[in-house]
Amino acid sequence: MVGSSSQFQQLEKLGEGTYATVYKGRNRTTGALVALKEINLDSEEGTPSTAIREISLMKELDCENIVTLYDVIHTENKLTLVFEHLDKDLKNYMEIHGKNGALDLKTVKSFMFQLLKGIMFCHDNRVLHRDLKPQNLLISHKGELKLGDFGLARAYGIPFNTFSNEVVTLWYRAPDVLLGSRAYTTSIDIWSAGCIFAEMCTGKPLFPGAANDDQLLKIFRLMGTPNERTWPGVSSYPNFKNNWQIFVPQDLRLLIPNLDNMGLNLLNSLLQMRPESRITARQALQHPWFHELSTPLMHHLPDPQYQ
Amino acid sequence: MTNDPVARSNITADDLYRRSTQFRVWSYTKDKLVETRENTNENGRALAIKKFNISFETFKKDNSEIFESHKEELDPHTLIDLITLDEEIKYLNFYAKNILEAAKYFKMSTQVKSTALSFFKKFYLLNSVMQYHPKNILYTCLFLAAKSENYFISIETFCKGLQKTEPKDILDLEFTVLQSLKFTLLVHHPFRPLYGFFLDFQQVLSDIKIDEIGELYDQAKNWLNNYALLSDVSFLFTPPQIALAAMYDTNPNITNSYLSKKFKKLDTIKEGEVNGQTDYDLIFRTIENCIETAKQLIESTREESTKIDRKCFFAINPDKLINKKLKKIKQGLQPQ
Repeated sequence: MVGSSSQFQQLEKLGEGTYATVYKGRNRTTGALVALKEINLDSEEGTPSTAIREISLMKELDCENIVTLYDVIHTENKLTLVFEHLDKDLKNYMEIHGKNGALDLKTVKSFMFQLLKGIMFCHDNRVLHRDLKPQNLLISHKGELKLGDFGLARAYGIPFNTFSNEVVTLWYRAPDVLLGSRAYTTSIDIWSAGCIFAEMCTGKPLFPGAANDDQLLKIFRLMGTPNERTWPGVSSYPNFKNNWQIFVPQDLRLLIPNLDNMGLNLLNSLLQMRPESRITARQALQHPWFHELSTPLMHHLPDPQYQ
Repeated sequence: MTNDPVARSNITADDLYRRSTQFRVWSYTKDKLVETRENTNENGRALAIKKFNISFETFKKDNSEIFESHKEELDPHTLIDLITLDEEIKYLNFYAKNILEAAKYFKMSTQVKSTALSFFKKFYLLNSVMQYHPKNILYTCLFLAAKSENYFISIETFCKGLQKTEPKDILDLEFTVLQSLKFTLLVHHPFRPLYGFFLDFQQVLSDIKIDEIGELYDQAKNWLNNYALLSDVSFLFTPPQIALAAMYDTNPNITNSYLSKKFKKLDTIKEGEVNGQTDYDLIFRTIENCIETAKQLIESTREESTKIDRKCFFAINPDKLINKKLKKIKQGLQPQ
């Protein structure tokens, strides 16, 4: 019998995650579809710590814009995480519904709003996703967007200055991380959100770099080469170089002509080179670009009050 | 969803805590906690009796003569000696201390140590020692806590540091422990809020010397290590409440003036809506309650633990209990 456990029928393979294989599955009793993330336990260390941390975080994140972890099943040599199933990821969605990949602005707005809500929830709960990319954003047939694949996510409540900088898929990686920062914070997820925003508008990845340095150059070409004046402290990053080609910042409007001024303003606030200048997810959700999404409740987003 | 932060006009740190599994899954009232433990002990006893009866019947069938001639000695009621609730609690407290020692040996952080203890206490809130012997469970909790808190240690190194423990002993129990924990692994400890209060005390009590507040902080940290980790406070109180209890019990004067300043000030802000005096009284009662609970740890002597340990062993292995008795009888039957 093929299947992770008798409770679920294993259907086609959906993809390879960061440390596991994901299959579509069907609950034999209810007929409901699920996503089965299978993690091999053949390692001598038992349950991989990535799985432990993903389970740990998913249990805390009970939010409509984050996929739900229903159950964890243990069979002889593997662990299966049973997740809520969504039809597609954003990458397939753009391929199928986009015009050469580009989505209409109404859809972009709705997806961005939901993406930022999911990110805000993570950050409120002191969780960094660290690997936001179209493949990790799941889209339901009702147009709901949910954050998935928390394999690289990390709780940042405790000292967060020791992360390896080998995370986040290159294209969506923030410049401070590319420059070798190890003390990164919530702002790295915001940069990724900016990249995804642009990609939804144009259908093409914004910074499709091939390697670390190439990734930086692609960013500089559009955002301008940073210096101590535009980004105080930039020269103290480990990967800073004095001999970078000098680019001046380009107008994002030329690259994304279909996006209105208000949208460009939001994009610009997300894609700030200096991590501390990037807006927070909560601020982004209050941006006027979203005001027309006539959710009567979305106008109140004060910061959490600590003490 | 009422929890939706976007839908809320106001979201506080308390709201965030209420969303956590620590609050949703692992917070109890005093009565509920006692009741849960009683149930667990009861279930453990029932399970041990069931296991005993199966063994008993098998032995009886194979040794019907002796069972007939030594009815009294081999009476199930005489033979079986299970662990009471009180003993179970003492026994667990005894074992919990081994986590502290093992964590110290491996030079693990306070975070790993605290999480391991939390796992251990949660596991035995729902499982009895008559079902799972605490020795390997405690090591599994420590190993899982290390993974969960991102402290890398290989199972090989881990087992080498422990006595008579094989990787298999731990890895085989990993899922059992995860399942009992309901896969909720994120634990909020009182150390972070304690640090937060340490900073806020300096701000609010500008007339008190920093050294004095620093000393209070250090002693309160010790208090958390000595009382909070092993006791039941984390099931009953929030991390900031526990942190304040640690500070109050360490230095009531300074903590009291902080709380007065903090809460009485609210009186003047808004009348009716937030009543500073009521909040102040409430937090005080909570703190006193928390200190009392933290210091209520029932301890046992080594002798007592050894005695319970025997009982535990026989509860899990009734075959050995009956066999031992049979052997004794058979020895007595042998011609001199």
